[in-house]
Amino acid sequence: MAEYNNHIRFRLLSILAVLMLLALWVRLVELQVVHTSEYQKKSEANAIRVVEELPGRGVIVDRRGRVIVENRPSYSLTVIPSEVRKSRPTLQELAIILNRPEETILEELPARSAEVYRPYKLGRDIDFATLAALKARSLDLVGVNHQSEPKRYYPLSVAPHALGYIGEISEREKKRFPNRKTGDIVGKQGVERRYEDLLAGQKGYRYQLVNAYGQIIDELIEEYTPPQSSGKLYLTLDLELQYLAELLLEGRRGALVAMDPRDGGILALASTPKFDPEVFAGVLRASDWQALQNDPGVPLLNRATQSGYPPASTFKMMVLTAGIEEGIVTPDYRAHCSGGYYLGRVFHCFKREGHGTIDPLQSIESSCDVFYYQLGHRLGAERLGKYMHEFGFGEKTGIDIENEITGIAPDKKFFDKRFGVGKWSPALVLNVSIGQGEVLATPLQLARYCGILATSGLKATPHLFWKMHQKDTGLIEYQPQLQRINIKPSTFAYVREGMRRVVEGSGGTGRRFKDPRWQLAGKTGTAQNPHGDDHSLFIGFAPVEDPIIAVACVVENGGFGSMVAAPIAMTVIKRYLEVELRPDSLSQMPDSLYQKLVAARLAPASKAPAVKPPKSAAPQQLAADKPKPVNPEPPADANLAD
Amino acid sequence: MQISRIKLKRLDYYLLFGTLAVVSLSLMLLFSVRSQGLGDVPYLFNRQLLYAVIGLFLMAGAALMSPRVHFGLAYVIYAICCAILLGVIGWGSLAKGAVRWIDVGLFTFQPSEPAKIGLILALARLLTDKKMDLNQPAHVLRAIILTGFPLMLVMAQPDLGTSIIFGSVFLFMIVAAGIPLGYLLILVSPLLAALTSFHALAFLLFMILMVWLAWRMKLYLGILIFLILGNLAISAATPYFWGHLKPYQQMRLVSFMNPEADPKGSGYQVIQSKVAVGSGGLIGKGLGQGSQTQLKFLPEQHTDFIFSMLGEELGLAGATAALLLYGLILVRGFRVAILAGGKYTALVCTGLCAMLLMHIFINIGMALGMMPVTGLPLPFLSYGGSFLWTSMIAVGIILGAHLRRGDYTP
Repeated sequence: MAEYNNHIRFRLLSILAVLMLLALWVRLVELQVVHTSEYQKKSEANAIRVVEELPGRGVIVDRRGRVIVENRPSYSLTVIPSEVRKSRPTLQELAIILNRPEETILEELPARSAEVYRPYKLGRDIDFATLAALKARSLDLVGVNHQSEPKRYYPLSVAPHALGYIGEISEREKKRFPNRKTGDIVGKQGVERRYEDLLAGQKGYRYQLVNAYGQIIDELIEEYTPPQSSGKLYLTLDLELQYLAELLLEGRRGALVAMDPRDGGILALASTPKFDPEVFAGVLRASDWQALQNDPGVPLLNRATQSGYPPASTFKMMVLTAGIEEGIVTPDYRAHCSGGYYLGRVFHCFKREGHGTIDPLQSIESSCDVFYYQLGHRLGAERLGKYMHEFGFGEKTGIDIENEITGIAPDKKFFDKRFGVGKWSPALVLNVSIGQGEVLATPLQLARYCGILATSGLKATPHLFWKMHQKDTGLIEYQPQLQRINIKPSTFAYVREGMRRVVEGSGGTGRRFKDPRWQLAGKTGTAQNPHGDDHSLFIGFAPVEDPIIAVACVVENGGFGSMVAAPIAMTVIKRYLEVELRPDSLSQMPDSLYQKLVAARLAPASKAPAVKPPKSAAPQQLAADKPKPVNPEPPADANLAD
Repeated sequence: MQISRIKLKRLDYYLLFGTLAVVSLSLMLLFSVRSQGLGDVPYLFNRQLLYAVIGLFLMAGAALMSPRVHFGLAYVIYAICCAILLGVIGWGSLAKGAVRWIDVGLFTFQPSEPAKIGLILALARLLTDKKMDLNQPAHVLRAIILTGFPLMLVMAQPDLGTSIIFGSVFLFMIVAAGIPLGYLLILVSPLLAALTSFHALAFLLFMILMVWLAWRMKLYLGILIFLILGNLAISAATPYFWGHLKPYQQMRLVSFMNPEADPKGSGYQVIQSKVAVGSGGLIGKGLGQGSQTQLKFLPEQHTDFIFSMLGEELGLAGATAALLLYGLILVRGFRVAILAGGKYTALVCTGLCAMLLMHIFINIGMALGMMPVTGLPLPFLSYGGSFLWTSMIAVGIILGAHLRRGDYTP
């Protein structure tokens, strides 16, 4: 064989080999030097799984510390799909415990390789019997476990509209709560939503080292941060008063707002028909949600802040105040009511035979319409509008729950806008003067309006939040937002005297509610409703000398104000005065009563007598304890019988 | 055998050192792999140690064998290899949707590995034939047929990676054997035509470049027309053959172009491999500390993706060391080709170096996200017996050629 010499080609091939290795090395430098930090981050995210631990959501209590909403553990049954698929006995046991066919379990389990090694929630919010069965057989069940997660619990099921409810965060809500992510539970309405940041607590995090199959290799104990549960959130609500108001309104469509006029603290905020907040406590079933949505009574609507009603005669104090302040009305002012007032057409007084000649105080006491047609006509839309705004009509009250409506305060601008400048008749103002026509107010606005009258012009922003103590922030306490409106105290005193006479006077529309213990004041209203029966309204405050509570109550289609709304509001007012001003009655009342309320609600339905049984020891025992507020009937006591 | 006449000072210590160093690195990496439910026994390490010891004997045996012996047996070895490859298609065990393994009781055996050496020996012998004139197309065709037969057989398994190795070895060897560059163009252009057929502009550029080169080389007009028409036909047919590729091969090629497209599928391996290597940084996470590889985020980390493990655990330092050792082996290998007396020995050394080089380039390129995932192992580093032995026999043959340099060899 001949000597073979083709060295150049061999050398070139050798150089090619070195160049190819060099190309690999350049790429290596790119990955390991230039982009290394980026890949390091990805590598860490790969291997470390962060497991969230949920904190207890803040407990909500009333002004006396009585629990309105708390948490109870709820258990979810979790399975490792790959294990269950492998173990037939486990699958059989599961089918028995969950009482469902094996095939449906297998179908539900995820099949993707990324998920089969991770716990899957097979049953949510399982009951204790299931949990007990699960624990008893835990040794035979491979890959089956349970997880606890806190769930909202409502011992008395009160104030659903004020509290709101919780649920899984929606895409839209992520803008509002930027540090939350999909699957998190947030407040959806009411206090739960408004004070989400205070109530949520801090999540805890466990860091687990996992392999590509999701199997836990190790846990980074030193990195563990335990969850921090939130504390107690005190509301200004009075649980007992709230419960009473809801009881009294039961079976009707309406709302009641009670507030402390001195600082705006809401004592009760009831709206009926109400919904059971428990429905939202765990997993919301579609059927439940549909039922709530389609209910003709619109239970999800908070009638106290989201429904506008004509204030009717309760509006008259505002008109009288305007008349006095504008110098039209003096104590010597007299008006003659012949049963009607003519402006283009005859505007009737509710009393067709007329009130005769009356003074301003009588106009409130007997609720004469003609007096206010005259006065409203003389004041005109512009001046009337100014006072409407002073009293907070046509604007949000600023209460600390969302989706409040403004109502309508029809001033000159409103009419000009709706009908065109100069194209509307001053007769429209006549209707507004008696709280009818275009004017609409929410029960909350009416309660605040009543509070302004009671306190000689203290316009307080209503609020539900009182205080909360938290480890990191310390005590957070609500600072009352008060504003004194520019009306003379003497004017208020005069108007209040009219309201006092409604109850205390011999001809007052609320004389039935006179109580020897306290001086009460109020005003009834009956709003004409083109769609059906009249709405029944009442606003009132007490005690007259030094008011501590102002209440507004509206009952849709209730008829005369004095017949439905007034008894409800007066019962609430009197109960509050009893507790607050007669400490001797306190000892036997609030807490013991609360215990009974809770006991009554938690007892099985069959044991709670819906109709009074003739000879049962238990109800008599209750009666002996003077459980007046528990009685769902509108008070059938002496005051009403008058 | 003339063992006594071999002078030990003629042993290529650099080549031997490079090979043993990479084998040791492999054993070190495999020792660090966490035991996989097999108790405390470092199963992979023990197995690979056994393979390496057997490999050492095979390497020594190959080195002591005179080139005359395998020169004489070249066609026989080739024929046996082809027969086994044929057999595999009818009779073999299934692995990953591809029939590549023969179960011989103690372990499974991959017949395409010795076939690589069989082809190299036969091709070297053919190209050394005195009647062989690479200036004549008919003679070149004989070399093509010799390569094409086993290539088709591994393609049918299907084993894309080994087909590429056969093709590359063929190219390296005919270049070394002195094929006219014009013919090389004819041989390489169909491949480029197929690749560029997916992009109109790229194909146009390729055609213009090819015609210009052919014109510069003053090729016959007939050959030029044949080139143009042939490449047009290939580019037209490629999409059809693409449709005949196994779905996993298509996916591997597609995911290579855009690994993020299907991160859970075949792109997953490439992404995880890049993350493993990239997160290794300069000095790595330490032996046994690679979270990507040890926690199984990277599949097949001890076989096809062992370089990712090396990059993650020993960083740029370890990876560079491995590349330098490979460089040493290859440069020494090509040096032996030049020093070897006979054309046959020179071509065998070139072919064996080309085989090792292409394995290294494709496997590491795959681990670094530069190459498609083809399932080619990395010489001396990847876990597994078949290819370790093939590589060690290859080095043994080169060492044997060096021992007898200056002697009268074919």
